[in-house]
Amino acid sequence: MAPRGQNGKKEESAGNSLSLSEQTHLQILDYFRVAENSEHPAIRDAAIELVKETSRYQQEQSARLSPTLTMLIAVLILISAGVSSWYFFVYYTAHAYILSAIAIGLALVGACLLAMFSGHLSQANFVHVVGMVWSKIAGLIPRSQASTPPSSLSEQGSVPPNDDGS
Amino acid sequence: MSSPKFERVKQNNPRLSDFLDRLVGYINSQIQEGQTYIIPKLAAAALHLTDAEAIVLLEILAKGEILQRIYNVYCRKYDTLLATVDNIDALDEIPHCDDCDRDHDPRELVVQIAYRPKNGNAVGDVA
Repeated sequence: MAPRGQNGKKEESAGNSLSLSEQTHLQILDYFRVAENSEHPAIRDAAIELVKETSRYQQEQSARLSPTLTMLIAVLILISAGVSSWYFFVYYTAHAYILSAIAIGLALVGACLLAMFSGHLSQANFVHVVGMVWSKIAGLIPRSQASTPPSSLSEQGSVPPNDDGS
Repeated sequence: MSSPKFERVKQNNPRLSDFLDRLVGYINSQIQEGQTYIIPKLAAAALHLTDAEAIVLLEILAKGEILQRIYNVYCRKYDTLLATVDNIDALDEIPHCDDCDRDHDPRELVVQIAYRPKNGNAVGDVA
């Protein structure tokens, strides 16, 4: 009675190691995926919605962190990002902007990592967030280091030259 | 008179209204005949749908708390019903098989997905 969906062969090979509940969950998911090709558009749309909901539910069920712990760590990350930004603006005024951006970027990545482990964020979206944060920080580095002495720039060696060739 | 829950489900899925009416008609007829469970395969045959389409419709009724998904677990060798559970996690705690006199490996079991009315009564008349 089990349907042969898109993941049929893959699930069959993995089936030996899966528990009965996991096998049944995949079987239900497979039914929904088969229904995604229904000739009735209304049922097709409903099936697509059910696949999304079931996948989300499964993602939350397989979460490695409890919601309370997740919330606690998320709050700590945000507080530490705020405190470090304040510290940079007080004691490292010259580089406060870039340092704060890095701190907030790291906090964002940390929060997303947490969300991924708690089942609220997919790996693909996590990679998107990391890429976005990295591009923002990378965009800030030349601008902030333009104000630093040339000697320190040449020591680092990895900073691209300015537009005027210096 | 349709049940408020069924009306709500139809309001949330207006494009499926006709399918849901037919399905509820089928479910009510099965209950009147003394059937305890709705088997998707039989519902699909009665409504001229595929198994997958029938499961989608039954699942929508389950989401609306009209039906409840249950799992009948059978011994693959003797085809005897070992357990009926309403929680998917309970499938991992299937009792000892008396026919085979041992605890089965998941591969030696067959799970049949079925649905039963949440309150044990008729689902609600089709308006």
